[in-house]
This record gives sequence, C-alpha cells and structure tokens, in this order.
Amino acid sequence: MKKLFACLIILLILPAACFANAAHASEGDGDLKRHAASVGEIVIDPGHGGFDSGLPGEKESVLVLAGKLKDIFREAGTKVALTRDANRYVSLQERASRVNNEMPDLYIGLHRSRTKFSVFSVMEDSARADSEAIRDRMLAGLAVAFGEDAVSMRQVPLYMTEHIHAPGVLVEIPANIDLDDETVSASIITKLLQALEPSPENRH
Amino acid sequence: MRVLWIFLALALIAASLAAGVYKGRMRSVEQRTLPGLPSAVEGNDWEVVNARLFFPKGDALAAEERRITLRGASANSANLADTAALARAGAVMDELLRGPILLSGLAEPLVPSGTTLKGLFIDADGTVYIDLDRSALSGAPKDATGEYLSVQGFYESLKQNVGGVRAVKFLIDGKELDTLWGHLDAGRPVADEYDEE
Repeated sequence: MKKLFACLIILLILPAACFANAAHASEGDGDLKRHAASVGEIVIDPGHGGFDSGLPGEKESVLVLAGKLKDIFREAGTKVALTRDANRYVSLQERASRVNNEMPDLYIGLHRSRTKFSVFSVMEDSARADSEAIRDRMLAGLAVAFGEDAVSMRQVPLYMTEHIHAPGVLVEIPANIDLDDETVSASIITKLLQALEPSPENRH
Repeated sequence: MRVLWIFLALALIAASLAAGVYKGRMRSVEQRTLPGLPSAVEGNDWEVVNARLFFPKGDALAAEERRITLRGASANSANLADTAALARAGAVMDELLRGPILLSGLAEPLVPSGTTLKGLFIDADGTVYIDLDRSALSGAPKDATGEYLSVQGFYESLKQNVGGVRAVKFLIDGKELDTLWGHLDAGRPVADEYDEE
C-alpha cells in the first residue's frame, strides 16, 4: 500500500516538474534572444584551424560552439560573420583585418585553455570600456555557473585584443569541459549571452 | 718561353680562384657565427654567478636561483655592445633551455626540451633577438596564458640577469612569425609595457 502511494506521488510530481522545467527553459530562451538581439552585427572568431591545432580538439570544438552561437544570433536577427567556418588556417593578421573591415558591434573569439575559463577584453581605447564591462559580466556569470576556482581573472595582451577596434572579448573555455555535452555548452552559451546587455527597446 | 708564360698565367688564375673560394668560405663562416653565441672562449677567465631564472608555474612565473658559469666574460658588464653581455645572455639562455631543475615537476619548461638556440643578438637599444629552432613550437601546445608566461619567462630572466636588456624578440629559424603559439603578437618585442595592467 505504501509503495502504491509513493508511486502515485512520483507520478504526480514528475509531470509537474517537467512542466516547470520547460517553462523555465522557454523563459530563458526568450531572455537570451533579447540579449542576442541587442547586437546588430557580430564577428565570431573560432581560434586556430588547419595545421594550427591549438590544444587537443580545440580547433574542432570551438568551431562547433561558434556554429551554435551563429544560429542563436541569426535567429535573433543579428548579422553574423565567422572568421572561419571550416577546418582551415587563418592567420591572426587576416582575422584582425576581417574584424576591422566589418567593424561589428561585437567581437567574440573562442579558444580553449588548459585549466580555467579566461575572458580577455579588447584593449583599443575606443572599445576598451565596453569590452571590459562585457568581460567582467562574463567572468562573473561563469564564476556563478562553474565556481570561482574555475575562472581566471588574469589579463594577457593577445594579438586579437590588441589589434581589433571593435568592442569584444576573447573567451577561453577549459579543455576539461566537454562541449559535446549539450547541457554544458548551453550553460556556457547562456553565460556568454547574458553578459550582453539588452538594448533599451529589447528590455522588458 | 711561350710555354713558361702560359704556365705562369695558368698559375695566376688558379691562385686567384683559390683565394676567392677561401674568402667566400670565410664570409660564410662569419655569417654563421655573427648572430650566434661567441663559440670560442677567449682567455681563461671564468666566473660563477647567481642567476634568477623564471618558469611558468600554474598561471604565474616562479623564480629558480641557479649558479651559472660565465666563460670569457665579465659578469658585471652592462655594456650591451660588448661580447661580455652577449656571453652572459647566452649563458642565461642555455640555462633556460635546460628547463627547471630545482623546480622540476612543479614548474614547466619555457619550450620543449631539445630546442636549440640558433642565434642571439643584442641591439643598441637593449632588445635581445632570440633565434630558436622550430622544435620550440613542437611538444605540448600552449593556451594564451601559457604562451604569455613562456615569452615572459625569457624576458624576465634576461632582464634580471643581463644589465641593460629592455626587450626580447623571438625568431624561429631566423624568421619573424606573427605569432608563436597562436595567441600573442610575436611581431612586437616583449617589454615592460607588455606586462599585464
């Protein structure tokens, strides 16, 4: 009798929990779209490629993540360009020229790191303040999601952050994070997008 | 008599050809040694000094104190134009390429073991040009912080142990690359203003 009662409770709770989760997810999606829609034009820059492999699996995994980000921004009505959309080598010079020719509202570089999340901001004077604000929000969001120990605050002058003129950041995701895991990659994408402030017309 | 003249003319031609070949060889030897370390030890003077060498440990640099031998060089020389400073820089480079010893297992080498120094030059402004062979870029790949710490390790070690050093620039097999490991601008010398803010 007790077992039957327990089963009934589980049967009642399970659909309710699923419904609540779906509602939360769709609310999150709408929220993310608003953040993505705040960007008129973006250049996404998956690092390495071709003979330049980076860390093991880096050039492939950042390309997949870039594709996911591209889809979200396109759905939100943002104009999206990628510095590479296949496994080919693109020099840092070419990447920076591409970004500077497009002059997007936002640049996001994607790399992998050995141990911790890092977010490096563009250092160009005109884009510096906006880039640092996005960086700080991303780091704070990633620290909440993955723990403070998983995030490095260190800033390093990189070729891309030194040579591009558009606001933006270069994000490094630890190699031990499995980006093939949809839940994990969704969580990272959420934190990246939440760092973009919705434009006033998109704020609710 | 005519035979003698012909013989003399041939001998002259042969002698000038031989001189030309010898001079060419000398020039190629000079070109090989000029950008590199002084290979010959001049005199018998040598000195053992303390050196502070920097290697990546976690996401920072760790210092390792080591006794290094300077041969044919004055340890106190701060004149970059003389061979003493170059010899001192060369001795520091040799130690850096050996990797961490006291910090072995704790700190990481700056470049893979087996990397060779192909040339070393210091200009009048205090920029050290380090020419490494391509094996520097082999081995375990680096992330952005790892790349930064490696170039900083060379720079800090040379700055702290060789008077007058103001910057370091890297060459691979004699060529300038736009980046070493795909993150930093290798076209720009590593200097103090390069450091994080």
